[in-house]
This record gives sequence, C-alpha cells and structure tokens, in this order.
Amino acid sequence: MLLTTVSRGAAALCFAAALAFAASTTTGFTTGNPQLKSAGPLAFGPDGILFIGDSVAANIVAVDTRDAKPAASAPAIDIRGINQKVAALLGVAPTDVIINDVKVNPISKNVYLSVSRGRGPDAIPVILRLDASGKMTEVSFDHVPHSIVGIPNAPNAVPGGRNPRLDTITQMAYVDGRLLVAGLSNEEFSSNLRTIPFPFQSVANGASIEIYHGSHGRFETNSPVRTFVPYTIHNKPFIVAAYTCTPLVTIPMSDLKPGAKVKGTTIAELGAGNRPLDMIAYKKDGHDFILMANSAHGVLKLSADHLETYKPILAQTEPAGVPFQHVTDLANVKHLTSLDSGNALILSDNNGTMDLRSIPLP
Amino acid sequence: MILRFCAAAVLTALFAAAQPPSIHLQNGAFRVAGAPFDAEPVEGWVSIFRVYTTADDSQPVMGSYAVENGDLVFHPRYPVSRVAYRAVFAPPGIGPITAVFDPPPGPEPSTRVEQIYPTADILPANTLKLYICFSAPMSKGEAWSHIRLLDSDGRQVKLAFLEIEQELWDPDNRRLTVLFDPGRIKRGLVPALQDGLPIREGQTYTVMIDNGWHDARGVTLAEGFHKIFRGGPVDRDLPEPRLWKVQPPHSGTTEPLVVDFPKPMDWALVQRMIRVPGVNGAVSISRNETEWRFTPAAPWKSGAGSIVADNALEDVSGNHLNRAFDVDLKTARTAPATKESVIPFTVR
Repeated sequence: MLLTTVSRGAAALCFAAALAFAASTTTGFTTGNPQLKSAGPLAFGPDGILFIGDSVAANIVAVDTRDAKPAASAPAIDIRGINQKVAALLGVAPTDVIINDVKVNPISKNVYLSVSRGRGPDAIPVILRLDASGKMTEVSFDHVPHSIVGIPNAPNAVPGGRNPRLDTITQMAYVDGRLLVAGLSNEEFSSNLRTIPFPFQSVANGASIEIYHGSHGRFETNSPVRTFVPYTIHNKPFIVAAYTCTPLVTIPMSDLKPGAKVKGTTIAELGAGNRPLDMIAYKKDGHDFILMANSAHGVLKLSADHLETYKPILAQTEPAGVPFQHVTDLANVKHLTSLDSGNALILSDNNGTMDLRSIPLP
Repeated sequence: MILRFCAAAVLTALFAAAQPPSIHLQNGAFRVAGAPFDAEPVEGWVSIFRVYTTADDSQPVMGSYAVENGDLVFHPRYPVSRVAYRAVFAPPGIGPITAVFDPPPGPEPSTRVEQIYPTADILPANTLKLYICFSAPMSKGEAWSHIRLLDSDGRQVKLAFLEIEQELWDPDNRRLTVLFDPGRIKRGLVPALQDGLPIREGQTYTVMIDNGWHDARGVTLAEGFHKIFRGGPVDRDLPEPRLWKVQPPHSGTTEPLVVDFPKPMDWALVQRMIRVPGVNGAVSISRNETEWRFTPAAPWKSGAGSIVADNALEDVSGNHLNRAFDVDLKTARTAPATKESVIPFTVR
C-alpha cells in the first residue's frame, strides 16, 4: 500500500511538473493569427510547438500546433509527386509550388510541410500536415496560440521604400530552451547565427554570434553557417555545422552566446563543388552517425562515434577528417529529417517531381 | 476564365423537367445552378461537387461550400490561379457534369534585367557578389537554371556561384544577390585548391542571363542580358577610409558632399553604411560604385562635420574597412575592433 501511495504521489508530482512545463512553453503566447508573410525552415520544440522561419517578415513564429498525442512510431510514407498533390490541393500548377522544408512532429509523428503557393513576392505561405493515414490538411492559423520574435534588420538605405535588406533563414533547431537560427544576409557576407531563448524574449540588435572559419589555422573568415545539426559529444551539447564554404565543423553550444566570437573546429572537408543541404544525427547498433544530404555528393553517412577524438584539420589535404560512406541508393535528396528512432524522411527532386518517402536509417 | 464544355449529363427525372444544371466560375467561386440543394449529403457537399486542377481525381482543390441563392457554391481556399480548373458535379444516380475553365492568355513578356552590380568592366579575381536588378518582381526557385558565367570561349565556368536553394532575394523579388562560391575564394580550402578562383586575372568573362527566367507573373523575361568583364588582380587590401578623397561642399548651398573611393565598393552596402550625423539628405552612388554623393535636405552650415562609415562596409571582394575577407593570421596587422570609422571634413 505504501508503494502505491508513493507511486500515486510521484505520479501526481510528475503530472504537476508536466503541467508546469506545459504552461511554461507557452508563456507569452497570444491567440490569433500570426500573419505569416513567408514560410521557410521549420523546427519542432517541446510539446508540439512548431517554429516557422518567416524571412520576409523578419520573424520567427512559434505556434502551438495542439498536435501532441504521442505516437511511438510512424507509418511508412511513400508519396510520389507530392509537389503535384500539394499544387492540386492549393489550386495552382505544380510549377507554382515550392516546398521549403519538411519536419516531423517528434511527439505525434505527423509530417509538416512548409510551402509557398506561388513564387513571387506575393506568394502565400502555407503549412500542411500529413497524418498517419496519408491525409494532407492545411494547418489553420486562425485563433492559434502563438508567439513571435523579430530578427533585427539594418535600417533602409532609402527611407520610404521597402527595405531591400533581408536575412534569409536557412536552418533552425531547438536545443534545451534555445532556438538556434542560421541565416544568410542578401547584403553583408558575415555569420548570422543567433541563439534565441524560448519562450521568446526580444532579440537585441547585434546579438548574433560571430562565427569564424579558420582554414588550416591560417586564413580566417567571418563565415555564415548554412546548415547544422545539434549533437552531443561527451554529454555536452554541440552543433555540427556546415559553412557556406563547405567544411564541416563542431562548435560547443556553450560558446554560442550573443556577441561571442566563435571559431568552429574543422572535422571534415568534403571536397569541391558540393554544398551540404541537410543533416540528421542518429544512433544505430550502439554507434553514432550523421546522415547528410549534399548537392553534389549525394547522401553521406558519417561515422560520428567519439567526434571529440578527431583532431582539427590543420593541413591542406584532400577530403579528410571524419570517415564517411556514400549511401548510393538515395539520389537527389533535398531535405532530410528524422521520422522516428529507426527511420528518416526524405524529400527528393527527380526532374521536377518531388517524392516524400520514409527510409530505414542506413 | 474560359469555359470549355466537356461532357453532357444523363439526368434523372429529378432534373428532367428543368434546365440541366450548369457550372460557372464567378468572382473566384465555382457555382452549380439549376439543381435543388435542399440538404447537404451525409458525406458532405464534397461528395457531389469537386474542383480539380489535375486530370485525375486523386486530389481536389481545398475550399469550403455554401448554398447561396439556391446554387451550390465552392469557394477555393485560395484565389483562383492561372491554371485550368475542372469542376465536376456528380449527384447520386446521374452521370457527372464536368466543366473545364481554361486560364486566360498570359500577359506579354515585359520584365527585363536593369543592371548587374558591380558595374565596372574589370572585376577583382576574388569578387564575392553580384546584385542582379530586375524591372519587375521575379519568380523564386529557378535562378540557377538561368545564370551562367562563361569564359572567353563561351564555355561555362562550372560551380562559379554558391547555388543556394533559398535564393537571396530582396522582399520585392526585384534584386537577387549572387555569391561567388566562397569556398573557391577563401584561401586554403579544398575547393580553392582543386578548382581555384572562379575568375582568372586577364581573362574575359560574360555573366549570361537567359530569357527563360520567369517573372512573378509566370511570364518569361522580355530579353536576356549579359555583362562582360575582365578579371583583374586579386584584391585583399582593406578599403581604408584614410585613402578616401572627400570633396567638401560650400556653406549655404545644397551641393553634394562627395567621397571618392580608390576602388569600387559594394553597391548595396555603400548606400546605407556611410552617414553624416545630424544632417538629413539623400545618397546616390556613381562612377562604377567608386563615388558616394550626399545631397543635404537643407543648405550646409559652415564649420566642421564628420562622415561616419560602418566598418562592416565591404568592397566588391568582401574586404571590410578594418578586416580582410580572409585574414592571413600570420601576416595580418591587428586592427582595433571598432564599429565605425570617422572621416572629418569642413564645409567651405
């Protein structure tokens, strides 16, 4: 009986803690329409909170999707020509649809697509949800609990007109109460990585982190991070990041403080003529891996055990560093995201026809 | 929208006495007239009336239904677009009635490339960016199919640009920023070692833009565009303000305050990164981005003034005022990490 009482007490405590946590994730949320101007990269936070990068409005919107019914695993997904289906749903030609990102709600395993209906400046942002039955529906933004944080912009060069300067958000990830946001300016060439506490507070002007890339210990550039994945090394949070200038680096999360000057440790150079597009980290058979989609090198599987043991690449070498292998049966992958513990979801572009399908993690 | 009649219906006695039902597209909504719509079917109106943009019936257009003035009306969730719509009315027991609405003819091509910056005929071999300016908003997502860098033999320079999927447009989609691949410009990296700089000193190049690029209306450009330039020496020198030549204005006039740079500056940044504190006015850039002109809103007052430049201002090779694009840590001078440079001048 005592055990039961203790269990009940513990359960009550857990429930109370869960309630408190749930309440804290929506602190500062208001209910209404967040009025998206564009829908770019997506990321999931706790409790089904979806972050949407809105580059045109220079905002990041956190939306409570109220899609938090747990599912242990996801069904197999194989939708050929998903861009055509999305176009048909939205009433446009397939050429008038851009799928900007795809992410999976880690709780419900429902798939979220970030879509532009149209390609011009008046394109309509749409978020679609694909459920386990394969049904695709629009995520309504009427009367949704949400919170918005603005990304500071430089003043307009020609007051009165629309400010031509824009930070394009290229990747977001939520890690331990912080949203990491990578972006590229259409004017300055400089690092534009920000770490934004969530629930949101305002982002101070100049609070971005200066990320430098040291080439072989000699040439140092203030380099934008284009894509990254959170990663744990020795129980400490890191990001594995790819610069616009190709190399793969590790950066401790503890270094990512507003106004800091950070230099990543190069762990791999993947060769010329290639751009990393998307990365996921996963564990299989007791080993750590990073799966990376690339513009030219296809999908690479990197052995990521003990990343801390790789010495920074300081010599001018051929592609080197962390060992990797090509996953040859995956081609034209544009987006890559985790589906569940054993599967990933890929969006591939086959001459204009985009396919969304789940694959076993290699 | 142009209505194309597709199929006649075989009607039941329900409709036999009246005019056969017809489908119209009016004010952005699809309307079925000529049939009774007293009660919504158990499976919803969607079970008898659907609108498609595709030849198959796998995915109808999303929207909402209403009975308005006796007609069944489908309101698409989003405005009708320039695509053919197929509306199918199929009440139980009778054959479907289908109407196809073709889009009206598209407008004629009229959008053009207005300018590519930098405008100079000689560009440093390590040029970092181009700005392509259009006369009207453009479509996103197809830039890399329509921009090429050609060498003097007309061969494409492979992988010259950083082909970012997101494409770095301004909010109006009228200015695209194109980065040369930084991995080839930055010294010491594998891409730079394997492929070298995209531009070679002394060689002639053409930035070629073909007219297949679509504007925001989905219409191709009225004509292609090309910019010819010659590769100049690599530029890793700081664009130091102490080397700028200031032409001070006369008091009591609205003459422009003019600053001449020894080399071209980044066209977008130089417009907003130099200011005259306490004086309102308008900035213009001229002489292939080597001249900054500031015309005051009110006549100058005599005395000392200052020009303040943001040290993040770049030249066309990405060198900041106090920091080179890729700093050689073995030879670089340690510059003070200041935010701004101040250049004094005196109103004459």
